[in-house]
Amino acid sequence: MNKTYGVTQISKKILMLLVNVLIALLSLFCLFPVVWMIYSSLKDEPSFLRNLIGLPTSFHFSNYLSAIKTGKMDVAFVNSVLVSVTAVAALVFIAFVAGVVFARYQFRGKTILYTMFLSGMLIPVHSLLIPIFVELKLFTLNNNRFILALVYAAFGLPKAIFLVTSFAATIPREIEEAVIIDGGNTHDIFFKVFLPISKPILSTVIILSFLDAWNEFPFSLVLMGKPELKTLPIALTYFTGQHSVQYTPMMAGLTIATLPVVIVYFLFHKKIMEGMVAGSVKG
Amino acid sequence: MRKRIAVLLAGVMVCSMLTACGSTEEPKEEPEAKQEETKEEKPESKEEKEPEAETDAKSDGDFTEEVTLDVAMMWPLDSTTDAKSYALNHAIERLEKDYPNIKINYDGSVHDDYQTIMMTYAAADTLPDVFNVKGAWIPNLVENEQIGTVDEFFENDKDWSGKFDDEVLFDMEYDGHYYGAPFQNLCCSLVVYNKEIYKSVGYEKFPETWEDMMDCFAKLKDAGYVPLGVGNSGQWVANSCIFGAMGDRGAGTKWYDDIMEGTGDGFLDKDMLKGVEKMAELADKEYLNTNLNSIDQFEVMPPYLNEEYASYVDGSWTFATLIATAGDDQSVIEKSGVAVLPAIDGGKGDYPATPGGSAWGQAYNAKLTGAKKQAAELFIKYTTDEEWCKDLAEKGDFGGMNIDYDYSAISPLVQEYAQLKSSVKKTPQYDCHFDTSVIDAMNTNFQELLIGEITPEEWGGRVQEEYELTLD
Amino acid sequence: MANNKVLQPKKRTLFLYMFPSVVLFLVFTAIPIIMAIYYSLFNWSGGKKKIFLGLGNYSRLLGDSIFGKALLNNFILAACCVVFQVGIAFIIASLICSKGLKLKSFHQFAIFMPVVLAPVVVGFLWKIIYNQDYGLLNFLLHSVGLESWIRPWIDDVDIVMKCITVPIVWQWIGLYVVIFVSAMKNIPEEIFESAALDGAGGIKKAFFITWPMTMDTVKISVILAVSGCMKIFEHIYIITSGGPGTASMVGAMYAYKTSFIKQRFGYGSTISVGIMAVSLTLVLICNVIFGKGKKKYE
Repeated sequence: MNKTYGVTQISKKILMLLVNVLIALLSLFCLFPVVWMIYSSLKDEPSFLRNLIGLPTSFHFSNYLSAIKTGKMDVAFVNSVLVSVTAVAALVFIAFVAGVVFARYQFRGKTILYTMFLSGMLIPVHSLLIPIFVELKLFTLNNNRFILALVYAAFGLPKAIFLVTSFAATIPREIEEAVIIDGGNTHDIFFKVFLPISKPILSTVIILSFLDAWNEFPFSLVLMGKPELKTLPIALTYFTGQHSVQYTPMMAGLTIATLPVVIVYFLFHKKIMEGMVAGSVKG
Repeated sequence: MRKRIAVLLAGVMVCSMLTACGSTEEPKEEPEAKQEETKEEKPESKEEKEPEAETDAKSDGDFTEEVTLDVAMMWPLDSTTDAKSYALNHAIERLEKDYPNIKINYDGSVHDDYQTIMMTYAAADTLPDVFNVKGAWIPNLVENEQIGTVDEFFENDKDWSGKFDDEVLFDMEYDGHYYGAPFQNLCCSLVVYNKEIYKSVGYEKFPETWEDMMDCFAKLKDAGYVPLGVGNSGQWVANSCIFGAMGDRGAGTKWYDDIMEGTGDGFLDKDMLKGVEKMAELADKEYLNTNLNSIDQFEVMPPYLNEEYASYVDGSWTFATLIATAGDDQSVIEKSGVAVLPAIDGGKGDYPATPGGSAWGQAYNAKLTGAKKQAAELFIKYTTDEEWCKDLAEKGDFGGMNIDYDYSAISPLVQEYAQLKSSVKKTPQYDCHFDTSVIDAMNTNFQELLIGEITPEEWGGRVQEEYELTLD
Repeated sequence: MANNKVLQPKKRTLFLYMFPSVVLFLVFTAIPIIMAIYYSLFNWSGGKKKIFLGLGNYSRLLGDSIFGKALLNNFILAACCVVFQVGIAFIIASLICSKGLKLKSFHQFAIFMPVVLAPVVVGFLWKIIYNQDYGLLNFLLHSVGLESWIRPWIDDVDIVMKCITVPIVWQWIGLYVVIFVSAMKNIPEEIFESAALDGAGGIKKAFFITWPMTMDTVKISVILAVSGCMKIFEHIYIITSGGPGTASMVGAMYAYKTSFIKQRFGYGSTISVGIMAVSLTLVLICNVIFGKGKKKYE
């Protein structure tokens, strides 16, 4: 009896060890691209091309200078920040109120409207490229950062509303009843009750929509027809000519575009996780 | 009540935060954007209202009013390595110095993205004032009245236009008119080969007949080399750089004419398919690199420089990149030669020949009139003239005019190419003239042909299907 | 019922709340879609010249074998993402919430990292991993003595689609891990405790408690994964552009190629409308399968 107990205990330990090793490998493999990108950005072109994975033998920080010069990364960085932040700010507010309305209240045409929004998640973006360009050009609204931010907000809207609606549907009715009994009104319910409760889902929405806006390519390409308005993903293409590619400056450019997001995530990921847990309602 | 006010306040705060978000960036961009808009529109409205001013400007060639030209091309201005970017910067400098009243509003993108942008602009009927046009786009743009003919520009200044060869003008012609000024001269099908490796299997120079080449490749393969490298992940290299030559070797230029006219057997033509069969033979005998569909034309260079590939196929744009990729160690390039693909038995085409021409040209928006059109004419001239060609030559590239330049200073390989270029016949580049959807069908199916997934007949059948759709 | 009436706000308030999102959706999504549907009725290569075809493009679409192949690839991809992405994420999240795993917050941080990367970067990286000559995968196979497995991965029409599925699954696992972890942390501790008293082990707990308790989250994840897979574009554009031939073609890639490379804006729009119709059907089916969840919205 005692013996078998010992064996299962040992096999359990081995299993746990195996699991730990597997997950650790996965984690390392998930970190690898960023690490690879950073050390590749310090290699010189011929040694990068001869061995894509190898470590640098000498450090070439000049790649960063040529990245900034070739890609105008500084201007692009500012543009990307402005557009993404504006888009996310608008999106979160709009999606939050709409999502809660969908989850909690009845009105005519609700199902149709909700299905419409839901179908917005399924559109291949390129299919809207020409229509939106035609539409904006009609009012000469292209070449405008604020409009691009609105386009991004609109694209993020379906997913955001879907997430908020799904989340808000799980909040117990009693909470809002209590507010009404206390003499509160709808605004109170939204901003004093639902807003704090929805923190976890809103932080997910913020992360996802920010990343989408930060990395968005085709619309920025077509709508921002002036060098001073280009965003980071466009700037990164300047390293690939028709008949030439500058890989190492491109790696430096990619690092400039990615590292700040990674750092912000690194600084806040614990807060985000905590927020997700603390803000949630026990279902 | 208090609660209500608090909520209202919160709402107002959120709103003002949002608008503040908008407005903090607004002042930064608005004045700028507005200024530019008014700048742009001024000359235009001027033209419409005062036709006399136009004629004035025309008669003495001066620009009394400031003219802003919107230009979109496929070269980023700030590129440090691109020959065209270098020449373009210089051309804009020259133009703005000679004509201080012309302002260039330049938007550069890279090749692939440029196509997406231009397709969108064309769809919305809002092309920029001056742009790069690809030969294959011209028919469509002409039919939609979006592109103006450069015939009159050519007529106005024969000193300039007379220097373009017919072979580069060929790609810019449609229905008896020219729609672009050529800014480059390409040879699209070249083999860069390692002379020493070829010598080691008994070939002093690149074989001139298909049988010799197959014999040579067999020996190279036995010696452990990849005989011919291809980087076809962009899907166009097999078509441009191999089929462009092999199709013509098989069927001659008559087949090209037939396709353009919509006559003949199209893609079921027996002679043309001979060329395709030769390509399939390369795949069948495993003379190509097995990863040819997942690497691009740049990625064939490192294994070539490492002497794993005995040769590779590409176009004349390859030299600058090859030299840059080699970096400090130019030894392999020094023992490299350049040649065209060999003749085939019973083929109707000429040898030595390579598909080539300008492929692209400088074009202008059909809507331009008056001073703007004049400015466009100047811009097109400055980006194609001898000075432009000299700037390109400095970087090892070839403009649309033949100029005297000693390329050996750049590399003996480029010098060897310059000689080859003047001695071979140019044949039409299919992918600059055929309908874009036919080209895509050719490209896509070549990927499968070169890995032995489909036969030459299947290839022909599939492309024919797409081709027949365009004939209606 | 009475409760609902009290809680139901005035129509004007509801209208005010819904107004911004509806306007944004109309201007930047609904109207453009209507325009795309309009274009899909024409043979159009840009500019003024449009030839009206009626439903001609749609009848062509029904017989288009490449479109069929592309959709099939989309379906396979979606199925793989649901099974592996959501499945693996669920397992990892359960482990993170269990006691056995070490370095939990490190794992949570690391596994989320690919989510932060642009799809283009992920595509570029995996293209290099699969590279035949100096790619990481063949290098690893070589070093563990599995030379016979070495091959040009993404040049093989039979395995290219599987090769492309891996990076897509890999990139988004982290997102679902985070979503699942926050859902699992909300399961009351007492339930686990009482289960432990009944002698339930880790795997049993995951099956009989965690899984049913996080069912809502699973549903959301499945719909997110399916909708993401139906419009997947960047990874494939970078890694293979749909090749070799059309072996890894997906709907969005085909629509892009038709519009922007073949310059057939009319038929390109038709393909897009086709994809949207199919994916909407698919998501509605998902919703019906998960029918139970609906009660909560009413």
